[in-house]
Amino acid sequence: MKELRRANEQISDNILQRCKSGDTSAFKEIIRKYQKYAYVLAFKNLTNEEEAKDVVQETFIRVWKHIKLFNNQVKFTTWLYKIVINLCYDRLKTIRRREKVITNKIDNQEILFNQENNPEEIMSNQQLSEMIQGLAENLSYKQRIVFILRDLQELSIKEIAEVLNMSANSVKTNLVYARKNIRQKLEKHIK
Amino acid sequence: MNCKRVYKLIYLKKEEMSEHEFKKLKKHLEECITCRIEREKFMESELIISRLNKFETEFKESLLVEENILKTIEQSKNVIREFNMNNIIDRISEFFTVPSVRYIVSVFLILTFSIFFFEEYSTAIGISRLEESISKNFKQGVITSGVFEDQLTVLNAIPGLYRILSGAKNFAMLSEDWMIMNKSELKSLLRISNGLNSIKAELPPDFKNKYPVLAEFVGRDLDESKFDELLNQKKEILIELNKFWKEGGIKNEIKE
Repeated sequence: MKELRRANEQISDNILQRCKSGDTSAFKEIIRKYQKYAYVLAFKNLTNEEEAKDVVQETFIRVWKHIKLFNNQVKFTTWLYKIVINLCYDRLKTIRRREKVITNKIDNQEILFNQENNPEEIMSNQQLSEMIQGLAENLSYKQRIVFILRDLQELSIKEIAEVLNMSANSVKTNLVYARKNIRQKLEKHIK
Repeated sequence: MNCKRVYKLIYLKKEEMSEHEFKKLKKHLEECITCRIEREKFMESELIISRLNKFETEFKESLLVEENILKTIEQSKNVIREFNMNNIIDRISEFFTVPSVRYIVSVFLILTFSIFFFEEYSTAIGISRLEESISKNFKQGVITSGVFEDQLTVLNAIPGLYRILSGAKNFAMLSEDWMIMNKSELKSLLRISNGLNSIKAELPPDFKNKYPVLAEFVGRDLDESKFDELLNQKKEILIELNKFWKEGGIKNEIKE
């Protein structure tokens, strides 16, 4: 199954209206369509399967509670990303208070630098999680989320600005600092 | 060109820059070896990142959450149906957690209680003065007309007499329930107190015989039917009292 990195941006008016009137079967369609995307985003942010799963559940429950307020002129995905990211942020704060787990694990991940590997293969979530943790170590939350959205989720600068309620310039500045930090971390492998 | 001016651009991809910015960077890189090396390193690191990006995130069936979500939604619906009253109470509680509402309610409560206590305090002061005045009158023995049999009944009769004269049917006994008096009752009581003080409680001869029910009006357990009878005679009593007091040279009158 190809990873859902870019979800369809809008939901149909029919489904939206049905959801607004309390039709859970219509909402089920929304969950089916977007849960994997929400999960990938949450996982890359939290680098933990169970935490990501919890965030996805919480996200859709929040979507259901507030769907009556949703205006279809706004992209559904933008709204969804905002909720996922806000919940991830809260979750990360809790996790960081609970345990200081971030360690530099990228040194052991030769898989990333081995050009012989087939890029289409599925990397275990554990490996992916360790790599992202290693790369994003020492980044501020804004830099980290901008890096994930831009370089790992391939959202445009404009979309990121909308999701994070930031200016495009601010997004670029955070991206620059994140990339510079990551480049320095990868420098020895580049050599 | 100053390296600082293109510093940010070195770490941006071509599609993230405007055409003008890209040309500016390109021109700078042709002239500046340091920035060119940095740009190359960045591009190499981006290659690695893009490689990472090509790995798919594992998505196991166990991670599907739709059933859990729908179950939670259904449960919450039932909870709302079952505990609708609780929901309303919760909403009201939530409303009072809003800082501005909390502030306004606090100010309102403080003002209300302040006014209430001020009123109570004023009443208490007024009553205290009245009691002092009555006590003084009693000590001076001015209310000794013979209508009442002893001093104690005289003291007890004061509120009773007040009831007759003012028509305040539900006036409570002074010594026990003075706290429940309202403002107008208090004013009336003060007025009658001054009246008694000035008239020196001189009552006409045969007053007791003419109004026998008045004599019964000295105890604490008042008979309401008797009270009504007296109330009907109030005007007559007042006229007679005023006439008697005027003839006796007493200037102050009790107004009807």
